[in-house]
Amino acid sequence: MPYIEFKDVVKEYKMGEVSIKALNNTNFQIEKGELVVIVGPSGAGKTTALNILGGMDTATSGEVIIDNRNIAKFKNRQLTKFRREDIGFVFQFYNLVQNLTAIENVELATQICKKPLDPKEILIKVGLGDRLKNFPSQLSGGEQQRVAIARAIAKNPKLLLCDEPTGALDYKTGKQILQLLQDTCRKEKMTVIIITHNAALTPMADRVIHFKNGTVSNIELNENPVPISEIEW
Amino acid sequence: MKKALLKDCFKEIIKGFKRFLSILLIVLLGVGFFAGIKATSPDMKLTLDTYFDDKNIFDIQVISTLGLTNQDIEELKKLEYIENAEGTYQTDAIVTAGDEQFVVKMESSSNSMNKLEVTSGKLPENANECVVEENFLIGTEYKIGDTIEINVDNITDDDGNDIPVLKNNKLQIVGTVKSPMYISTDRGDTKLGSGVINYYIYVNQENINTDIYTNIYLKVNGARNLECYDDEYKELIEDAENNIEEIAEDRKEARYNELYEKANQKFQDAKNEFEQEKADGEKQLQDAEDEITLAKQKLEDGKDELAANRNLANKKFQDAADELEKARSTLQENENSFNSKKEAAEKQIQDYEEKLTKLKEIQTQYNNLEISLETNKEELQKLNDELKTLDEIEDADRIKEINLKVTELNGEIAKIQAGLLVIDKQLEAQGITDINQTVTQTESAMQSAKKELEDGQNAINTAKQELESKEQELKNTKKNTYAELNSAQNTLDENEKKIKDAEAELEKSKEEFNSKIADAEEKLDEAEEEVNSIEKPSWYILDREQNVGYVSYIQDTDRVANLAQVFPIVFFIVAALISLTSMTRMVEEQRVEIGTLKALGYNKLQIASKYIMYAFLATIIGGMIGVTIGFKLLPKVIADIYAMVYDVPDVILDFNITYISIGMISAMICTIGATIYSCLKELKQKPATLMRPKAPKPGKRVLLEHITFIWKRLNFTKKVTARNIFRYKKRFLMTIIGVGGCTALIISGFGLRDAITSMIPSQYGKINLYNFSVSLKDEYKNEELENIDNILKNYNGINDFLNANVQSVKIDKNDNNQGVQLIVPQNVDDLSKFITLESRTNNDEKYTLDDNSVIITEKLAKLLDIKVGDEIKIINSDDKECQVQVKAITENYIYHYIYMSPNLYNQVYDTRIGYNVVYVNSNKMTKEEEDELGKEILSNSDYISGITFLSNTENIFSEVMNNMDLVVWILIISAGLLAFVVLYNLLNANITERIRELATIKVLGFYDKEVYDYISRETIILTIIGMLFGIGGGYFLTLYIIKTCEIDMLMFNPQITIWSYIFGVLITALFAIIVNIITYFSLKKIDMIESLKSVE
Repeated sequence: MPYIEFKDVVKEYKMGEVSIKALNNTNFQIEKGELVVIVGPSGAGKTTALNILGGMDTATSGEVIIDNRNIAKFKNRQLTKFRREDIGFVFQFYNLVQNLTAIENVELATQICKKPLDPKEILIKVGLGDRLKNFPSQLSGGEQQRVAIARAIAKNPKLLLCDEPTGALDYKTGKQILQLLQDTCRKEKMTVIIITHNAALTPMADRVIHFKNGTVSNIELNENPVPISEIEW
Repeated sequence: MKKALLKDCFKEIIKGFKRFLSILLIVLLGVGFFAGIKATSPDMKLTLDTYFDDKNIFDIQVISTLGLTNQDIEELKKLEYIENAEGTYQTDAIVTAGDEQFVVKMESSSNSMNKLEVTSGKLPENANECVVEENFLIGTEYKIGDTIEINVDNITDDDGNDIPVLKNNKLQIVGTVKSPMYISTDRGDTKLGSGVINYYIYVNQENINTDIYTNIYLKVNGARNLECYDDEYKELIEDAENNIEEIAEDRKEARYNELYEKANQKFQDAKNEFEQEKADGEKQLQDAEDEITLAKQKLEDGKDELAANRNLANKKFQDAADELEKARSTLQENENSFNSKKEAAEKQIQDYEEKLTKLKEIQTQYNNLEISLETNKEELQKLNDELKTLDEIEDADRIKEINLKVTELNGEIAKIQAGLLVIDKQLEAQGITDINQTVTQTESAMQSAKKELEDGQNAINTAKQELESKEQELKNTKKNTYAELNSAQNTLDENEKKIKDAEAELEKSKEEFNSKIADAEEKLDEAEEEVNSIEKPSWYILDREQNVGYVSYIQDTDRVANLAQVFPIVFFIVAALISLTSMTRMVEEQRVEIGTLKALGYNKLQIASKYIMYAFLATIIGGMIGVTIGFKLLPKVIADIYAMVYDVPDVILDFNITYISIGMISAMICTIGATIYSCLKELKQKPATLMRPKAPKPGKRVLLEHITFIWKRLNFTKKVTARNIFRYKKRFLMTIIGVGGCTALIISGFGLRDAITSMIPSQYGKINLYNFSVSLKDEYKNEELENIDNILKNYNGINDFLNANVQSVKIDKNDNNQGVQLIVPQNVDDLSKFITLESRTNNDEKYTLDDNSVIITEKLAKLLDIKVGDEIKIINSDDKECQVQVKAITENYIYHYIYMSPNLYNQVYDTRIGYNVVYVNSNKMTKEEEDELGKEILSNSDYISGITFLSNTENIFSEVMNNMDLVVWILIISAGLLAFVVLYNLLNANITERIRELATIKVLGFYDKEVYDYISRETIILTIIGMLFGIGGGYFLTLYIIKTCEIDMLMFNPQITIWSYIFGVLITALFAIIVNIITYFSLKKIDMIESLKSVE
């Protein structure tokens, strides 16, 4: 039994008379502790799949099994609880609360969790031990994304979902962030799913899922994932 | 503007319709309320001006102390400024209905000015008809068609005669009218009855018994085209008044001369007449005296004459009696001689009778013989005749027989002749030749003897008779004569008595005449004095400012205008601020689009035009709807409320361009200005910068964080809230001003309501403790007063009473004067049981009257700036002045009063006070019981003219106050609406502004409730802070509004109850809660994916 399973998932948006299928019979499986990279061109349905996986959106039909629970059947409140306890999100634009310091942004997440990690430790872990009391505006993009990752990790989630986490960052900083994510996956044994349109990143993953036209076109398994530092693009 | 942009603009409106609507609504409220409230006062004034123009109300009226004449009218008409002039007669009169007396203002209806509006029936067409105001019928229960009696004091005409004012004082009510002269309920004061005029009535000019007018009404040229409350009008009227002043002196002089001449002439006439009458009187007295003297003389003469007559009569009667006696003795002699002759005569007669008897026997024998001779001779003759005829043969027998017989006969004849011869011889012997002649002679001799005797007897009888009749005659004559004499005596006696009476009468007449003359002389002296005392008349040239109804109406509209000065401005500022921020935000939110457009090559104006268009549309549509509703609704509602107090036509809703312009332009400046400003701010930046998300405002530590011991104690979310609150200063300020403003507006609405409504229970529950007051027909003292008190004592339920003198007085201090009621209680110590005198701010501080100073009410003190210890001048109803010191200022809300002790009154006015009102404490009664008691008391006493139950007065005031209460509710509701729109706008802005943050925490797994708390905690705290500011602001706003709205006659209670604050806060809170509920659902609807997918 895989840890995560997408079974015939369909996501349909109705725009008046027309209906657009963002996901069309999507199927994939992910095992626990894997680092997964989802690649594909714009509009292929990657983000939709990730949103459904993260409980931010619901599937029109099909099953989404995560740790033996079919979240596709969840009501709003259950989904919120699911997000709260089991999911960590990292966004392209960090989405930090501007009015809170780095540690407070992390605390924002941890205070609603059952068994959170210590915010301070996490921030030290992501290399921001000396920027705890800084506001986002006082941090660089990379640092902000680290705070965002720290916020996601501190919840001690089952799944860490990252939507183009390096999209707004320069190459070097992007690489550092990816490194952090890879390390987190390895060290914390956390299942990490990263969306990217950069196919060059695929070697770093245990599993690569290719999206095309709203469905999975191909799934690759890497026997030997490459550390991010060795990847150049 | 490019077509695409225009389309985009409309799309924007449709897409963000909520935002568009909220801007539109806030502009609608702001502009509508501003324009509506602002327009109310001008609309009401315009209504009055139009009404007055319609009814051709006078601009100026002239009143003279000596009345006005047709000549005055003519002269006034000639003036350059005067268009028309008309005179009427006006006076106060009394009309009785049932047991009650009502004082009416009676005026003759004029032809073209001050036109009456007939509400039913018709105008009086002749001297027997009158019209009344509608309330008259309600108050007196008379009906149209009934006849009323109008009691007016007589007046003195120009000739000084006492004449009735009306030719006919029993008038039929033929209709009801509304007089534009009395638009308020105030009918003015009077010297009659209770001192207050109850109703007005109009009579036909024909019915007025004099051609003198009390008033001349004037229309000023060109005044009609001006608005009567404008300065231009006032200036024109002032000029016209000066114009009138120019001829006033001459007219006064003329009137004076006219009256003086007439009075003087009359006096002279009277004097002449008096002299004449005096002379006449004296002459009459003299004549009477002469007459009496004459009569006396006559009487004396009469007396003498009578005495003479009596003597004469006595003598005459004596003579007559003597004569009669003589005649009687003569008669006696005659009778005696007759009687002696009578026997001889009677014997002779007897002889004659015997002789005659014998003679007659002879005569009879002789005659018988002669007859038988004759008869035989005839027989013989016959036989001889027969013989001749007979034949001897044939009648031999016969002839034989005859022959025989003839023989026989011849024998017979011879025998007879023998006898005759014997007799003749016998007679011859006796001397008698012819028996027959002798018989006749004897008979005649006897007859004459008899006659002679008879005649003698007769002569005696006649003489006797004559004597007797003479005696009788004398007796009668005597009787008559003496009767005549006696009657003459009586007449004389009578005359004597008459003369005595006449003398007495004359004496009396003399006395009377003397006293009459004395009186008349006195009167003449008085008249002379009167003539000399005729003073020159004063003219009072009054404009409309002296019309109580007009003035109080204008004052009331000014009060609305005052209200319109503060309230809508606060309102408008709040609205403007909100629309301003909404527009700013919108532009800021659209920076990416602005950047895109800029990148596409649109110029600044083109880009800005979209937002300007948006703002323009929201403002113009909102403003127009607002103005339409505001102009129609608010003046109408407020004017309708005032229409309950004033008799004016429906309000004219004028689209006042000024207020539209001010409102719209201000709104435009706020919204479009804000739009242009934010557009310019955005457009300064490079397109690339614009297309990137706006750098979020950097986080900052707030002051609170440095106070570590508090900060530490705050849990995480509270810290976030605290930091958010202080971070967004603009929002902070806006919320506080918005919410605070609304709370303040609501509080001041309730505060105003408090001030108005608490007046009545305070006045009639706390200050005026008595249940009713009894007004007396006059001022009474001593026994009469005791009588009245005894009457009142007898009624069940009356517990206590206090006599008082209540009169209208004028207060003068620093040339500022005010009409006030002076109350002088008979018993100063009892006053506190009927009227509470105490400090408003400290109810434990009670005041009592002493004999050195007075107590005045608070508003009066405020109006005239009187302080405790000040001296004030009081002019009482007899126009006497006095100067007294103010001891204390007492709490009072309705009218103005001065309280004075009777001793002080007597002292300062140098009089002995009488009492005309009785205040009564009674058991609590129902309306019916009050009516019953009132009727009973009124019908049982001749002293009592009326009864006023406090509950009635209270009801009347409550009604008026309810009207104002309604105005206040309009304010409260408007403020509530504003609060709602403001809060909604704020929350809406808050959400849009922080949508990413909210989406993020949603993604982090915040439950809906937690998301809601996250944001609403801020709003709630800001709302509470806003409310706190609102409470403070409300306090000051209320005080300010109360001050501007107050009427001179009233003092609003400036104590705002805690409930006003509670309601102000609760209503704001209610709207906040509603808005928060809406927020909860809006937050629930936030789509995490849409919000996070990309930064716009």
